[in-house]
Amino acid sequence: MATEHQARGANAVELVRVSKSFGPVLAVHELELAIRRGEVLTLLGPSGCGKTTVLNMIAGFETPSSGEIRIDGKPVTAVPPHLRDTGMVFQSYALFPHMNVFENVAFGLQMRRLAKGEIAAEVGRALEMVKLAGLEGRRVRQLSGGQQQRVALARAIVIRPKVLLLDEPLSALDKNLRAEMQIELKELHGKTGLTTVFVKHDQGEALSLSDRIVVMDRGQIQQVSAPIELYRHPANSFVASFIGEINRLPPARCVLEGSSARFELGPSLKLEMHKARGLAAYHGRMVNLFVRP
Amino acid sequence: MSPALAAKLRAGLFWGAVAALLVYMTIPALVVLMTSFSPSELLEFPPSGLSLRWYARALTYPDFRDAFANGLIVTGFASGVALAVGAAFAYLVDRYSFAGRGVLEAILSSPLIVPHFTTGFGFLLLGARLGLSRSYGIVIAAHVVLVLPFVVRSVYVSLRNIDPRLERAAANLGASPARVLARVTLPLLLPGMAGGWLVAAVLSLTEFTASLYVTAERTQTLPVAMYGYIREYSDPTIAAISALLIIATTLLMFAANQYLGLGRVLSIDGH
Amino acid sequence: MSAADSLDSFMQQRPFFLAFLLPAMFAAGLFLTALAFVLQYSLHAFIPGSLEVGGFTLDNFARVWRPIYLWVLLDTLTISLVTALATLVLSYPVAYALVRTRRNSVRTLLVVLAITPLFTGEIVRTYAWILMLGSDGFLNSVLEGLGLISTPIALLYTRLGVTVALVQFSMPVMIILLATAIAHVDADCERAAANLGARPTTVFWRVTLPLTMPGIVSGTVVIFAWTMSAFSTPQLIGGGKVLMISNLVYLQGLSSFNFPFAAVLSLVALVLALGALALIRPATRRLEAEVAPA
Repeated sequence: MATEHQARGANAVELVRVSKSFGPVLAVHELELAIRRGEVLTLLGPSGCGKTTVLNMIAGFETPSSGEIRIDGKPVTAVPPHLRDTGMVFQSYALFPHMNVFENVAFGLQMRRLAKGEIAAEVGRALEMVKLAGLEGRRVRQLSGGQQQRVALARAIVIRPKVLLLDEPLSALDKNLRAEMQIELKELHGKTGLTTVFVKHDQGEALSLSDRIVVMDRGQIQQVSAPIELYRHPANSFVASFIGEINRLPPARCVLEGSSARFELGPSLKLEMHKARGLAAYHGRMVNLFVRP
Repeated sequence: MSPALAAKLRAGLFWGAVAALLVYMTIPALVVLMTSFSPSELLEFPPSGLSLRWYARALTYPDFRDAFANGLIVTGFASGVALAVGAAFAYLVDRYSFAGRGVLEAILSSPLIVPHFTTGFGFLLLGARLGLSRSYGIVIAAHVVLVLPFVVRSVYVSLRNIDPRLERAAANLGASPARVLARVTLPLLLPGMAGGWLVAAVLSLTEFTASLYVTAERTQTLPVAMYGYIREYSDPTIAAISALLIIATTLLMFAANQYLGLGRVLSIDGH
Repeated sequence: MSAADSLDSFMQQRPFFLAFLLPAMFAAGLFLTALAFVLQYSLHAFIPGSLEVGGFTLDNFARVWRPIYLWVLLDTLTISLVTALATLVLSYPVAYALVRTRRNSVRTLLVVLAITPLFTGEIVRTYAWILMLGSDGFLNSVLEGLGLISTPIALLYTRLGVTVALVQFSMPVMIILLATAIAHVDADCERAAANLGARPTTVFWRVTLPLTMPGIVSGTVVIFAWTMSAFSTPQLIGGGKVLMISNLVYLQGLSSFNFPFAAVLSLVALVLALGALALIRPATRRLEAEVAPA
């Protein structure tokens, strides 16, 4: 009982052997992932790797072909999007053009049938958090790109969702604004403590924002670790080349001699590594070499 | 009720309603088809057998044959003239600005809004004054004016989609403006012109109200002849002709959808 | 200067300009002249038994104010309004299905079913409804066959019959107009609403419907104006018992040969149609601005 309670408490979202195919195309393959409560997790990978599909499945816009999704320990695979209590920020913001800022942010609270006074208070608080206090009456098309994004954020966080989902939230902004927004997003997370899942294809922002990163390629998870781990100890060639700057050397034979390792790149080209550790399994085999600048 | 069940129920109701509406939209045509094969002169549902007698009668009835021929003459000329005038005008609107362009555009597209009986009546009076009373000429003129907006719109849309660099490239290679028009612009406009011409032709062939005013018995088009028949007789001959027209049009639409992509043309192929 | 530049500057001299302009002007002139004749006849006296007209007079316009003619006007407006609204309600689900279905085969079927009737012509379509509505017509035969009625219901020559036919006539156009509007609604907005907790019906009422409002308004007005000009339907299905302006014009013009009065009625119909469309333009423009994506 204690472990069950703990499990429900620790993980906000769980994906258990989740697969998704669109016709003959397998977008996501037997994915297993546990997203911890309160963490900032980024799904990172090249386009087509399945990260947006995973996000959509958590939100409920796509149904897994097989497997189970749990939010707060409860299975939600059969639950429609409007009952899942997730908050999504779309890449295009998807603000309601026929409503003003206040009505946009208040929408989710109206769905939850809060009293008018409460709604006004919550909306005010949310807008303050995204630094848009006072803009309640503005119409959506009167806002700049950055302001629209903040409204989209406010609209999602005001409902205090079980998990906040953001699909490439900074991609539509120019460079300066992106840097600014990154910092603000971090601050926002500090204030709200919401479990947050980002989808990104650019690793720079992912590395600075996230507690953990899920590197995906072709529908499968390549590695799930903290940014620094991904950088220092990539699990395979894909992760190594995807994260950070790296040089890739031609394959070489690995020969261990005591505590040193020698990599033979060619008849007259050898690399020596002193204090080599954990390489026992590679003795005598061909290996791929990566060198960080 | 679980949300999944509610969702299924809702979807069922929705598609049920859509199906019922589609029935409402198509049943009249089906009833026509059914009636056209009825062996009896009187209406009976369901028909007591299958017979082609009304088809035979429809295809040999002299009024209908003459009227169909008239229709081909009128539509042939009207759609051709409308194509030439409309395409030229669309070119003007797309390329040049000039004083009064907006007014001219408005006048030429107003037949869409002006009731056909007003237009028809006007041309009747015009024809009488010009001494062309109820000749082919006045009928063709009325039809041209009625279908022109469709041609203009279709060609205009096509023009907007042409890459201007293609024409510049041709000029760069030494082509005179007339050459550019003939060898580059027109070929690129062919789909738009074909589509516009097709719409114009079909609308002209089936136009009734204005034609009723401007045609005489000698020049009456098929719809007008059918109207005359309906008022006098109640046998299913009209059903046979209508069935032929319905089938012909449906096949035409399927073909048009296949080659021109109706959804795209009307910008309704969304998600 | 390059040949392309010279083409551009030559274009500024506007080749083909006159050649393309004159035919269009001629067509426009022809149309305006036809309408001018209608106006001219409306202002001249009717000489019974003759196609010639007398002197200048405003009597024809005065005649419109007689109650019997005003009733016809009112009837026309009412039938057109009811038709437009009924068409809207019935067309929306079909348009929505057409745009949102994921299967292309379904969409093709809906598009063809919706558009084909437009090209079969009004005589064919009106005749079909004669077959449907008559006392030994399809509807009555089915109802009698099912044992729901013992004597035929009178549907032909009634306002109901005319309206039912007119609605079916108008649905293709309305479906196309609505489908265009629905296709332009950002699907992400609907997803966002669902994500925030809105049930599918709520998503429809709070997001989809408001965002298609410009299309709804302009579509309804277009059908309204179109229906006011309907002729063959009230003529054949109304059978003289249901009179709309168009039928009156026909009676006066081609039966009584009272060209002047027919002319007045034609002009009244024209003004009403233009008026309806003109009135709605500012409203439509405002609506479009409101729902335009940011």
